[in-house]
Amino acid sequence: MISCLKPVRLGLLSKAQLVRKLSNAPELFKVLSDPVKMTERGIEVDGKEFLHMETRNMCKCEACYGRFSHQRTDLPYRGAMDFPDIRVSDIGRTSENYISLKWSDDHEGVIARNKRGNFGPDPIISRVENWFDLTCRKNSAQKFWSTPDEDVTKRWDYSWVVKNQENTIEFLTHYMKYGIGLLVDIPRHLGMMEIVEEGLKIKPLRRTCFSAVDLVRFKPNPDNVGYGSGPLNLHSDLPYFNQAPHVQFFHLLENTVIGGDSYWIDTFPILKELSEKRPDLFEILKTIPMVWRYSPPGTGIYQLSRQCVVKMQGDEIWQTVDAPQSMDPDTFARTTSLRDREMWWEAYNYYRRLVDQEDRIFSRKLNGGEFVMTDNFRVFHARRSFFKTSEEQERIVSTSYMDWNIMVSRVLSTEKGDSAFLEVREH
Amino acid sequence: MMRFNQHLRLRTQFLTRSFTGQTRTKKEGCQIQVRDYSKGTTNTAHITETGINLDGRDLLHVETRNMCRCEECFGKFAHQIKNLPPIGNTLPGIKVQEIGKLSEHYVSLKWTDGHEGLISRTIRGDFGPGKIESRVRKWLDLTRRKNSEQEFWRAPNEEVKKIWDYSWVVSSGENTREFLVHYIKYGIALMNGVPAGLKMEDIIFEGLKMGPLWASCYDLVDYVRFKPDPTNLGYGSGKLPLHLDLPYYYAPPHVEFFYSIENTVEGGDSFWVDSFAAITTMTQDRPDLVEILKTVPMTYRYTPPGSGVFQLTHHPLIRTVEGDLWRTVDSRWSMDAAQFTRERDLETRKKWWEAYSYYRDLVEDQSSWFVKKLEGGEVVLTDNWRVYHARKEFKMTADGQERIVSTAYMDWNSMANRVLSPEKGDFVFLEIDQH
Repeated sequence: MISCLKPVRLGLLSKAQLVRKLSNAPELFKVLSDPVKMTERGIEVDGKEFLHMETRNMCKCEACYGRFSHQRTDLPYRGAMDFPDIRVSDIGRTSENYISLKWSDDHEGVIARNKRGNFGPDPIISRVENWFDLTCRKNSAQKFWSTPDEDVTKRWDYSWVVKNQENTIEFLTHYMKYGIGLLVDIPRHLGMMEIVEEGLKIKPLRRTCFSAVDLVRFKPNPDNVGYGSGPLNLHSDLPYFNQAPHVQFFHLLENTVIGGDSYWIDTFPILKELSEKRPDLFEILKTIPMVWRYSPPGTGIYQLSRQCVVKMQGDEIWQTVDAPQSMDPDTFARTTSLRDREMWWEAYNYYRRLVDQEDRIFSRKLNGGEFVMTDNFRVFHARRSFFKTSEEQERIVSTSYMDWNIMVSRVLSTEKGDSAFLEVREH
Repeated sequence: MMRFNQHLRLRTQFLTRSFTGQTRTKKEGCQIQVRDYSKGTTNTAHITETGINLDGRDLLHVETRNMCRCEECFGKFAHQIKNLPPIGNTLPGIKVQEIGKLSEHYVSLKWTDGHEGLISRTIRGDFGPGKIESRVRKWLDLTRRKNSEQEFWRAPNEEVKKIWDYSWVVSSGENTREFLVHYIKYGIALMNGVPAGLKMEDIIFEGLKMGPLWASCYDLVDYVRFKPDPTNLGYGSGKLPLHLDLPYYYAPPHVEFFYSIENTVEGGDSFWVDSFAAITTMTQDRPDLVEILKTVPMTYRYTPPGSGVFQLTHHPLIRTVEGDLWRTVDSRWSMDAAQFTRERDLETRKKWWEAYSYYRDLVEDQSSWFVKKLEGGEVVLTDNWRVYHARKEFKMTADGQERIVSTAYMDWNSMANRVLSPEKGDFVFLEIDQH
């Protein structure tokens, strides 16, 4: 707290001026006079209370906290929690970012006083301050869209985005806010790996039953409806994985067919609306799981999952799982009571009517050299049917996936090799 | 709303329906009474007010339409529902108009949208004949991680400690399945006798015939051996208390492979614990504390300076699905207790630490540990959502001593493939042509 105050040259103020300043800012007075003090349950630091036990778990000294790993290094096999009775026995030196403490187990260490003390100096701390909530997918940091606006449909020039880390971060934070980000003018010789791993500098890709990178183009007797030419209605991908992939990359290599437009919607405002207007139905979609399946004959693939359409993280809307073409209502009927199924279908139909509202849709016929990143936990995608009027026409798409946290590293971390250690040694 | 929620919870906790249609009433302990609904009292189908009754099973109109298995609706090669319209695909107002032919595995239906198709009557009709049907009957609930099919262990027994011979396991698909089924039940399985020179990829892709691996910030396959100033505690020689891997991913990896390549150091024993057994005990004694561990997320972090890795997540320690224990997430040294203080108020934190201390006491009870010093050529599969692992500290007392481990991860569903699916190239179609 002290670090965020304007510097005050207290020594140049008269006593009267000092008293006036401090009396107008009681918190300032409190902090300056006594930033850290003991309480019954622990300590109070800059007005915030901490438990004795948690302070011991917060020690950042190099005996407790690996300088190179940022992990706790001091833990025994057992009895690490034997210190519920541990207490802070002494408060030592206070610096801008750290506080020295001694505990009743005789350990002397330091705890962070602020986020900078916990995470490290710039550029880390600025990025954490700016984007922590967004990278943790807090709904308050996201921008839900019920109809596509200019931000949703914004086209980002690929060469600008990959020019430096700041530009890439700007693009990725936009993606995180809206759940979608569209790159254009990608050099035609670049493939998925080059774009993602070398251009955006994020890796690794997540491997699935469709490999690390899948090429989607028409084939007869397709073992996945994506490889056909028919319409694909709004869905999230791979619901038949207990952990569906999160970040989706969609690279349009060629799209010279008639039709084949892509479209997207944001499901989160729909769920928010549902939670407000029909909380009973929302509760059903959160608690009764559907069965999802992908078992194409002869492929060696046999995947089934049971997942709710809506997943929450506390009060945050976290994930929507829904792909009508991969539903297994038969297994659902065998494993779920009639009453639950009745409720589920009522809730699902209500929710799906909201999903299918045309004015929510962001539609675009992607051209070759265009690339879309979507949040597969949030933004549904779809395709209109297409057909060829000549042999040469093609619709070829390259798709891939990545874990969310891999992408987040690119936003929050320094470049590899650029170490930003905690400033414990400067305390 | 509270009564409604309690009602839903009660229904899912105490009345779980297995895949084969048998309803199981869960009791404390392990004996389960089974009532068999899979064979209806009447071998017929008739239309009801809400749908149809098929062999004693009630199906809703709307779900029958979504269950159509004709080749217009259900891709023969994809096993996916196809030709769904862009909107209105669930057809909520639809009804079954007419019931047609009944064969052993299918029944013909006509719906009010004019479509004529068929739905499956049996598991075989839905999944396919032969090997598929028998595997699905035996193992579908297990691969879906139903607790009623798993075997929780509060202390390691002979089954938990069983060592499987690698060459036997990989000698046939049946053997591999037997091994994997054991793994799924107990959350852990050990193999020995892995030929020297084999790499992790060889063991998994060519031996067990599973894949793909799940790539993390440690690549597809990581080699864990001592190095100074480690960017991860695993690369040190100190003790690693009981933990689950990679809690700083929102999607922590599920199936973990741990291959001991060489272990000639002093110490370095591995040990494991079944968290599901601990949580079950805790649920009996302190359900209030379990509720806290299910609802209050801790913050986890992996941010080694200069590595380009900066991962932070929030996870409740316990996650359940339909009343089943689903996943545990816990790693003491990856916790960010400082950030936790910014996320939750003091009272919540106090309760969380109380609950966590209680839980940790159960996990750290030595009588529940399975301890083994792994030798070179031994491989352990663990369920990283359930079975904790740990390492005792080690030291090198002579030149040439080493502790080298290779680790990798896989999605659960990729592993479940190997249990349920026929071999690649072995086409098993639905028998609708025989209807």
